Amino acid sequence: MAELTSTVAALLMCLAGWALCALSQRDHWVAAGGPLPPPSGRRLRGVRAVAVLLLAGALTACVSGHGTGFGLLLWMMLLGAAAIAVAFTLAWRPRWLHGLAVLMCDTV
Amino acid sequence: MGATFGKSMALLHTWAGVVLGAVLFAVFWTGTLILFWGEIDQWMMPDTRLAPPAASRSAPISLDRAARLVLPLVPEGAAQWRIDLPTARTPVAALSWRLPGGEEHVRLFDPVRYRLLPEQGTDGASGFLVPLHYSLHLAWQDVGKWLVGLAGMAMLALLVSGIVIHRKLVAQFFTFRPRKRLPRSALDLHNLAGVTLLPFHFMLALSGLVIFMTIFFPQAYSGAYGGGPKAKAAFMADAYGRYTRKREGEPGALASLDAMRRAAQREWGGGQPYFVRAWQPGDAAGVIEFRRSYAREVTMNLDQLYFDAGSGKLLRRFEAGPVMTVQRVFSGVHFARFDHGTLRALYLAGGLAGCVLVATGFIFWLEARRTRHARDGLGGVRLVETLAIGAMAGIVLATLAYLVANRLLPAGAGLPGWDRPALEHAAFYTTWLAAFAHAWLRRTAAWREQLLAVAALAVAAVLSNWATTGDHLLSTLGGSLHAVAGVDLALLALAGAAWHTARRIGAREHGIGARGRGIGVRERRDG
Repeated sequence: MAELTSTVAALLMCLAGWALCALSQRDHWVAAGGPLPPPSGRRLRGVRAVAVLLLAGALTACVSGHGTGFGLLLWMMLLGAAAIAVAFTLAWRPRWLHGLAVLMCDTV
Repeated sequence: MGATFGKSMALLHTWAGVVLGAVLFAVFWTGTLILFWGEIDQWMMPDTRLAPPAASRSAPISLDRAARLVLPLVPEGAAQWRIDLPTARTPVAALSWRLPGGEEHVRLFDPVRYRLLPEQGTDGASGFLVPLHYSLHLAWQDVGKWLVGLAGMAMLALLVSGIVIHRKLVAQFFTFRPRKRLPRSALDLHNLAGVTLLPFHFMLALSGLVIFMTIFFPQAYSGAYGGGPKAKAAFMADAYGRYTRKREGEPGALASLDAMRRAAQREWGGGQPYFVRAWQPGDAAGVIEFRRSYAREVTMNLDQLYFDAGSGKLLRRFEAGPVMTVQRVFSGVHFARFDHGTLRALYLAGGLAGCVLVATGFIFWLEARRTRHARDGLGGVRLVETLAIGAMAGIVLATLAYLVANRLLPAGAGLPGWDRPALEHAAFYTTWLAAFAHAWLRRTAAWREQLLAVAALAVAAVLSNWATTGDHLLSTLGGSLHAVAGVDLALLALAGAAWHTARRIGAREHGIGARGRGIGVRERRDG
């Protein structure tokens, strides 16, 4: 059970991390965020920092749930799977990420 | 070579891809399939579809009882015999023996009910698809292994050159525009499958080369041990472990294997053996070897224990040294024979992504040159298109033909000089050749036609399983034959994907959806 929880947690962190990275890019923001104005440079830097923390946190989740050997391999594969999932979402259903874009907007 | 580094890398990438793409697809396709060699073996050998025992699963097989059942089959003077213990994914146990001339024989048995199983008349996945993966069944002078090794090395060069020539690596990391024209969407998917899974592709290629280090890089050990077969044998004993005792010529008894197994588990602090082997069986100097299972770890450990056959006394313990352990880690990462369902499922997806990588590479190359070659009367597109269709749709068709032949050939089938397994191999190769011929004759139309054939043959395989064994999806899913259900489901998924792709190709040919625009993406002259 601990294994499954850590895998799911790691997958969610990878998905969120990659989605934030993707939406910080102009073309993908336009597709997902639509009429919303893209975040400012400062905001984007913060977003990318959060994304890196999420992706790194996924490694911690993998290793704590599966041990070093399996954890590293699992993290590597989850990163790839999540990146492809985000790319496919942006290709066919970009509006699914609209909620995330709203969160990313400048707060003022 | 090109005038600049970038141009050289582009030439390298294109030429290596076109020349070796067919070999790479064959290696990736078989590699992906043999992740589930145990399940495919069960599908192809219905007698091995053994339900687990009703009692507690932790009761292990009694080696002494198994020995009483199977050892009478081993002839006098055999050089060694071996029993491979059952695992969760391979519920059957296997006895094999080797004669002094090198000839090997195998006999499967049920480890729960202690019954011999009849000859299955097939090589299954483990005996055909696995060697196809690493040697393409070209045994003469190891030519096949060298070709696969060359493809592996080329894969590393393809990955690095691909990164170099991808001008917008970060900006297009998530870019996939399926509604654009075929060259653009194919290239997008090619880049996506390659870049996001770069560590996976790189590791699998490199680890594959490391597994066969004694073939591809003998200088690594001959520098220290010298050349010649004796030096190599000394290296193999030091690296992989080997304990030998000279034959005494006197007959010897066999002590309790179960007692030796318990001693082995104590030595290993609870580790379980996955096979037991007897060297010089029946001789007073006979030795019993146990090897520790690697199902719970990434490293394919080489832990071995050797017992005196007559007394059961522990003679020697072997573990891989530190450098050899590195090779074992690489091997473990490549073979993926660990018990980790999630990781193996991700490996399956990664392997399929590798197949998509080669396929989209071919498609991009063809579409980028189709009009120019037609206009200038060049033959490259026709040749490469035949190669691509035959290598990709063709090998899938050949695999399906192998499965269908396995189900439909009668039990004792054979022709002069061809036993039943050989007839199954023939089904595979003739289908593959026919696919190349069809692709040459039908040109671009062959993509759709062969994909439709894949869909039909995959469904036929599922139906032939039902017809010849009575195990259909409802019974295997509901019961405990999950391996068989898994293979049937995978076949249906393959049929669905092939049919869907054939329909998309048909739609494109009729101009529907062929010139769509990406959503919200500014049109730019790039790629």
